[in-house]
Amino acid sequence: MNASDRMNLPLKDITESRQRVWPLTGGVHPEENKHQSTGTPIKPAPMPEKLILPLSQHAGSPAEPVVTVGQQVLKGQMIARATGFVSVPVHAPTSGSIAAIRSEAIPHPSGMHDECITIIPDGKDQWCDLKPIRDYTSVEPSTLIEHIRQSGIAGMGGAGFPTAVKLSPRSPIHTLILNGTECEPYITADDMLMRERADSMVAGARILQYLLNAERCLIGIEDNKPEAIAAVKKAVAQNSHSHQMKVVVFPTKYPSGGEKQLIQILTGLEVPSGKLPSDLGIAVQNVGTTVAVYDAVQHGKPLISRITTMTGEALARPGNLEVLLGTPTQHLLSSAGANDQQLATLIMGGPMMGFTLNELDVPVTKTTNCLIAGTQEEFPSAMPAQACIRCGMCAEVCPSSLLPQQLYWHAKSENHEQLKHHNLFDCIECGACSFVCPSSIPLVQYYRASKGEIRTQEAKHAKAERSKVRYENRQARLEKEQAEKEAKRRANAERAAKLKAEKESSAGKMSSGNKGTTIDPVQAAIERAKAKKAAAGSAGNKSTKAALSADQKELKIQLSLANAQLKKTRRALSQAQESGEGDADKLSADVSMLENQVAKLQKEFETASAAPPKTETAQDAEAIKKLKIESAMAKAALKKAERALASALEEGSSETEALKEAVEECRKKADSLANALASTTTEKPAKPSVDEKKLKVEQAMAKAALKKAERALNKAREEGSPETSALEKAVEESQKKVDSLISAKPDISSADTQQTKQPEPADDKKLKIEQAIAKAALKKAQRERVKAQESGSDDTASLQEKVDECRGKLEKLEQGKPSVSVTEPEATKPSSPAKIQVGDDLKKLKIENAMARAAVKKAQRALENAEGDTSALEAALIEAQTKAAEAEKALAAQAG
Amino acid sequence: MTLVRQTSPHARGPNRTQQVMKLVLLATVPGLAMQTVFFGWGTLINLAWCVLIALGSEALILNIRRRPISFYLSDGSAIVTAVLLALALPPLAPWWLTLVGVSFAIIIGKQLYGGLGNNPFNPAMLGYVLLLISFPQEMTQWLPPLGSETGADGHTAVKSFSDALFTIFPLLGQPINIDAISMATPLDVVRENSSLTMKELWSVDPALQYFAGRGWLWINMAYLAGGLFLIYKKVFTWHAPVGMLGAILVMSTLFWGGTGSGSHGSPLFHLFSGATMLGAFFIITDPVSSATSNKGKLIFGAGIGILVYLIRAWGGYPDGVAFATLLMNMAAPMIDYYTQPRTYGHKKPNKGLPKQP
Repeated sequence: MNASDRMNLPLKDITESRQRVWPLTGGVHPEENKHQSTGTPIKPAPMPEKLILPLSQHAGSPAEPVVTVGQQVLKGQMIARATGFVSVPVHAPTSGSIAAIRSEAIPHPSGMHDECITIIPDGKDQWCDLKPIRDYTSVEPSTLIEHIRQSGIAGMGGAGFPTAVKLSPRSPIHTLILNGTECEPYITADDMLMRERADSMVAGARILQYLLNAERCLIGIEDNKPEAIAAVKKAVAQNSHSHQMKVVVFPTKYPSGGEKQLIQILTGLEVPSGKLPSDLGIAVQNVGTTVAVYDAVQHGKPLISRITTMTGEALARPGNLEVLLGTPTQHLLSSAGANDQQLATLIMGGPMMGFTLNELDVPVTKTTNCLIAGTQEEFPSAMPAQACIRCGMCAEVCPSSLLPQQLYWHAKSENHEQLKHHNLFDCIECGACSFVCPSSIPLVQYYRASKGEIRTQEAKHAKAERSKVRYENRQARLEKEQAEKEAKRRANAERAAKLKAEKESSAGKMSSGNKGTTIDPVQAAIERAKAKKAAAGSAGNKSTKAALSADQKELKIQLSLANAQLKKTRRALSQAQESGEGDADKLSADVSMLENQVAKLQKEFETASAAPPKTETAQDAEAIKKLKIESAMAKAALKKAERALASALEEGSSETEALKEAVEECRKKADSLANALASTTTEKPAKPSVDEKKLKVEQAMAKAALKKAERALNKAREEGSPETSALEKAVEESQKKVDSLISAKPDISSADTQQTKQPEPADDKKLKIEQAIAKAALKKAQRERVKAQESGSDDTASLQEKVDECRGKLEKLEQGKPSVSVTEPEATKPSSPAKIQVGDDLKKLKIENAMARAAVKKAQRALENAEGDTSALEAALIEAQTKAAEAEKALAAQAG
Repeated sequence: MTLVRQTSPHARGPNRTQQVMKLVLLATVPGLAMQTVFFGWGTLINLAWCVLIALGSEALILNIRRRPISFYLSDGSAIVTAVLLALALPPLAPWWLTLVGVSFAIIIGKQLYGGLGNNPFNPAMLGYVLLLISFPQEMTQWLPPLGSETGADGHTAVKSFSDALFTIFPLLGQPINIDAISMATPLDVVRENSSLTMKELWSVDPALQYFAGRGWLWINMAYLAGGLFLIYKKVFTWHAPVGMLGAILVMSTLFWGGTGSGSHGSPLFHLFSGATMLGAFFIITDPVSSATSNKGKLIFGAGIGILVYLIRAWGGYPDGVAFATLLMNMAAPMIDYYTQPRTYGHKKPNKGLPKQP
């Protein structure tokens, strides 16, 4: 019968065969070590000096403090309330004052700190008013559940899940299981509780049964607790008043006490992966929790204490203590007679699933069922892990039928897909696999770490998914908004056009009637510009129109700008005159100056329109320049080629031949270009070029530097500084530089030749490089062939082919070279580039011009804004204006 | 006070890898004793020599790999490999043959894969197969077992320790002429037979006795006893041996061919002759190179059983345990993929590779 069939069995079958127990899958028999702590009855632990109550003693959201520091609280008073559904409140275990609400060490495998409320007991141990529900059957189950929740009860077996949540299942419950298994070694808290408080437990079970409306109750106890079994059986016989409660005894085997495992043992059912016992109609409660429910309902006592087993070889008096929640472990250890010298390992919980503490001051919480003070001999340090030999003993003992050895391999290789495929998340971390591993591999730790990694990754993934959705939504929203905006804008534009048309039609009528009064200034300006353009077009030479229109346009723009400026200044002047404020004189001067400028520009414009520029001369000049550049480039290429050749010769490279040829080629080209240049320049001497200008600037700079150096030298001499000699040298150098620059001026044309490079040799060079590469490849292929022949390899044929191929390629390349050289000169024709060069110079000049004008404008603005001393600004303005005028002149000359 | 911080579980079972290896070695003792009784001192000398080579080559590679030598040597796995290979070798195999086989098994078969736990093949069988392919003559020179003495020359000479020692290490003294006394194994005899009925064959050939081979029956019984001891000690589960023996039983029953000259031998003959029991309980139960789940082990064992019979009946070698084991070693990972057990709370087991997301 497989699991799914079993799960579908009607309840009846289970009831009939309830005395039967099913075997646990896997499992181990660790040394029990329970007898040490069952010798004495449960004793109350002595009152500690302080109680530290973590706000999160349960699974779920932490409680929220409802007290303030310094406040007096009574025993059983709520000091922190539940937040949310999966949460329980915290109560004061005794009367006293709140000493602190702050982060303290809490019992946690990581040794972390968390928010805690510290109470200093006043020693009176005074209860607050308790509200018991004597007759629970008269109360609604929901009210009872809320009462249990407000009593702060969370699962006391170890997981600490809020009991009220477990009592509000999704589906109806037919079986309540009380877990008295206590399969972990050492722990005897539930054993002792069942021995001493079986009646309370049975009464609690009846309350739970009532709450859940469960038909029956199974109390599962391992057969290593005969006293407990007897006590519970007796209590059931006396108190259950019905046949619905049954004690089921089954063989001792770890981990029978796991919730899923206990269900399997008692019912033969398996809780489906990812589901809860309640989906099977089963609810499991720890026996300790059941007693806590009884106390809460019958006596109104909230959960403020629990039974904790104190055991381990380092304790002189092991036993079970009724401990107030929040009692520091140190206090318990000393009251149990701990031997500090022997204590090596302090475990909270059992030796299989508990965790070690590294601080002695952590408090007992609702889930602390055991404290083991172990000696070094009792819990020796872990041995170094050996290699996994896949012996499969782990798989034999796994209660979940996993393959721990496979999980281990996949965990080591961080293969998350495989881990999930091998059902890692069905691992209950019971530790049976680690317990039996002959190679001492900490298997459970691998699984814990892998689970953490996978969870983290999945959280990240989910976050990324959310962000993606958000982003996509935002994109969609933005697009929608954009579309809406666009539609609105279009509608507006249409409306505006319509309005404008209407207005124009009416304005046209009006302007014909009353000219100059209501005319649209913009419209007028546009019309004027059109008229001017038409005039210029008719005045200009038709053939040169295209080439000149740009200059004309530029001039026109300047003219209109100057006009605008003039108008503006005039307006300002008239305003100034009317108001009597500002510098009217200055403004009138400006006006006159602008008037002059406008006139000048107008004149220039007219001449530009009338006389087309002598493009031929310009072209010649540009051709020379171009030649010069090419010649310089050729020279540079020559130098480079020579350098390459020299280095190749030094290294004895195979490319020497090719390089030599390249050098020759370059030299020839450079010579021819130099000749061409010489002939051209003698025929038509070039105008002072940009280079000359540049030289002048450099000269000026050098002179300035010289002056500065001289000044520095003088100063240094005066002061007698030690740097005098250095400065003298600097002065000399500067002087030399100035001299050389001055001397350089005459032969600037020759100096110019070293500037740039012609574009044609590129192909040739490329070809040569290819040739060289081909040669190298050939050589390599030959070498390989020889080697192959020597070693007698059968690759020789293919290598020979390769060699031939390389040779063919090389030959082809060599043939290709002359043809390229032949075609070269054709490409050198300096036709169109000259024009481009003219355009470049013009552009440069224009830019300068525009910059100068901008400077003028800036100066003017500065002047307008200035209130105080304006003389300096005025001077600056004038300077800028002269500069602008100069620039314009130069531009005109260039264009003309 | 500093307290020990350790991850759970804090309790540890008594099981250790060394313990497992010791139990395996202990379980080979009956079989080893039987082999020594029937084939002389050679078996023991071989065994000692094998262990020496195995430890030496393991230490050498560990040293090169810069691993703590004593930590890894003490796990006993090299000794187990050496012992298993020694039990599979002919009793008077020359020293160099053993050297080649064992060092290959340890160095290539185990350490080059990463040492214990990482080898995909059973190292002992890898060494054995290397020798069987490379030195077929030396590998088939089995001695006549005790009680099958024929002729004046006999093999009683091999009973003396010095003869065995000098035959294995000819440098130390005068070896005996092994060619003169070597004898085919029962499996070989039956395989080569084409003219005699089984009854005639049994009466003619001194190597055959009862329903299996002379001596081989007792040797196989001894290994069976050792294997049952290991199952009792939970060193391994019953699945792989049962799979193999069951498959051999089924195959040899199906293809028995009666008692005529064309017979492949009876099921009992196959179960108790050759390396059947040694293979079923000591070779294929090597956990490292076998399938991992119980179901997988059953399939793994059955595959070996089928292959062993196929090789014995129609293959070119007298016994097929080594080849069959290596072939199924290759299949083990795939078997693992398809034989995951059903996890608690799941309706059915996962199969194959994980689904790509």
